[in-house]
Amino acid sequence: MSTFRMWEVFAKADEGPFYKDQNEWMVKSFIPQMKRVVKEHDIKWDRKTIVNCDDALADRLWAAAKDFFVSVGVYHVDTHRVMKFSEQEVNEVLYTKRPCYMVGAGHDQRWLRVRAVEDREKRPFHLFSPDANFSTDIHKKACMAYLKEPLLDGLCAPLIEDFMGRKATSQSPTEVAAAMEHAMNLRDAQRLVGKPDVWTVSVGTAETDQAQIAAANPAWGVRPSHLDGRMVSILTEMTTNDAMLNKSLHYRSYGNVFGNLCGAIFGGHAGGTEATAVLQTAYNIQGACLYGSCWALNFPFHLKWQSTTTRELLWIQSMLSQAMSRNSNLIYLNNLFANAGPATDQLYWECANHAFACESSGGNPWGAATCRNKYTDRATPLESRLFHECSEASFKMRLTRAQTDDLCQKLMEKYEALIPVDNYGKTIQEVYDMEKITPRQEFVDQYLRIKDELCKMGVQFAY
Amino acid sequence: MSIEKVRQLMIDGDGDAAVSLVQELIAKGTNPHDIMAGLTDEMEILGQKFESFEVFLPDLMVAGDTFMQIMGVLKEHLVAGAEDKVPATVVIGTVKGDYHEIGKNIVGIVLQANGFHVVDLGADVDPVAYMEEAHRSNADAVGLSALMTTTMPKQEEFIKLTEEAGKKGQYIVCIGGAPTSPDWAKRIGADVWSFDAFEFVGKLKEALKNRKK
Repeated sequence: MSTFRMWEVFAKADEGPFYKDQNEWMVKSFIPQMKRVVKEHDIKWDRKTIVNCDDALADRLWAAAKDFFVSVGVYHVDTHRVMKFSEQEVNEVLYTKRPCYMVGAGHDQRWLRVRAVEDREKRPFHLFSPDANFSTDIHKKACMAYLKEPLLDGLCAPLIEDFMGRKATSQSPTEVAAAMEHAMNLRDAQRLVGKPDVWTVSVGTAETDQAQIAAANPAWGVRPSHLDGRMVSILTEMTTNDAMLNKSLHYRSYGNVFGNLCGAIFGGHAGGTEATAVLQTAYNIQGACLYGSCWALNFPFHLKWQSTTTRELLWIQSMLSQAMSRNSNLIYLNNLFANAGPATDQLYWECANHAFACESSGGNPWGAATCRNKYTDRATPLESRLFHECSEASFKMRLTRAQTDDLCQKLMEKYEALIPVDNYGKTIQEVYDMEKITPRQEFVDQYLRIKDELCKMGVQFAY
Repeated sequence: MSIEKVRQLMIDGDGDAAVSLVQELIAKGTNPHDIMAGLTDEMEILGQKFESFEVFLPDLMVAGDTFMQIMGVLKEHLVAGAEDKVPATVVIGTVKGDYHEIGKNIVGIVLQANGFHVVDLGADVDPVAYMEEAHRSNADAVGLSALMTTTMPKQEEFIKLTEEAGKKGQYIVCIGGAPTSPDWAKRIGADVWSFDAFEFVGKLKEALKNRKK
């Protein structure tokens, strides 16, 4: 843990400059400062490149993000004050950040760490996560299905949809109970597949601070210390509230290796591609300074499609990865949100492209979410498997960024025109035999066919 | 010195210059309704450009902010010639427990650009607060945004409350947000669901037209 001073930071929520609402702060501070840093630091995208090969541009992006964060701060929506950090404070946090954590325990123990651009030594950390709601009756089995994946280093389990026949609803007893059930299912599932000590990021069903606190229990729920991870969000854009600060306080006192969940919106308050890259990179600095988070999960996404696999979003992922790997100790993962759903070829191409775009830039894969995150039960471990196998292949092949960009351009051709189409595929119950918790043969065949096509494109899988 | 210049100042976000130019134009006899029409046209063009990502949300916000400053001056003059029809009123907000405002904010801006009167209740809005505001402002429609699967039920709760309070049909109930879908809208009895803000405006206009028949 860094020497981050929690209470001095919390005090900023009561002491910073006052703006009557977020809109006023946006118009007077956020928007003009963003325009300034993009121009001053000369951040430009050619509208074609997917994987950046320009080191100077990556370094300028880092400088722009730091400049932006120091200039703008974080708007606290409950106190209407801006929590500002001096450059000295930011430098202290960045210098004292640990570049690696040992997570999990026993034979499931792994290193979560900063990787280098075109890293030849440190393999990516494979965090599996459907980021989707699953029906309560299959939740535990779905957790088991993901935990069985061979490359898995950590899991962020699916969310539970209902509790006792009622939809889990934020701030209500159903949310608290569903969060507890989620944590219990996950612990059971881990034991049942022989991975009791794998690092899990828990619990997604708990949206609120009180539900997160309720699910924390070393005996049956979320475990303390390095055994489990947690997440606290940055609200759009560059805002926070007391509930988020409560979460960070709880995670820190519980000792978890917790992360900062952050997704700048392309087309949103930042604006276009370059500004979204600045904002997303700044979020990683913000998480470390504001919450004291140990790592960040990056999911910059498209305002219209709610996905991360469009050309501009992949460039942003590549850029922010290089900016941080080259200039900081900040640990980060790259989150995939696909447009298409399970058992569609499109979904596999999106997964492959996201994996290749990030790995050679220093990234760590987190995924895979499907169907624009919209539909219950529409995610399976198969697409996640391909996502992580592609990331591992990229590392094993020691692909350079230039090689990766060529490959990503070819993969983009396979699905770019399909992005606006609603292609939501099948449910996990259709793709998997949920009794045996194995994929049905026709979908295994499809998986192998896609891998064959990738091999013909030059990909050499690890196994 | 013209309405064209006011339009440009609005795009540039130069509120002070825009307001002083508008005052000058009115003093010299320019019809305030012509100024208003020019600004509404410009906002509509910006909205269309945003849809194709030729411009982005900050451009809309800056222009929208200046638009509201100009409206502060134009309002009294527009009232004097109140032959115009009253714009439809839409109450919007993000549901209780949900702090994600961007989708709702975009809807608000696009609605304003299309001539609607928008009452924005912000985020974390209690279902009763929507009802009270809808009653107070005699709303034509209420829009409930949710970005989390755990906050979507608040959209359903609002609809249930309006039914129990005997207010069903008094205004059009619209829902939206990333995890929502046409299936969900149908299941909870919402009147309008849309993929994004632009589709929403078209659907709302259609629903209002049908309601008046």
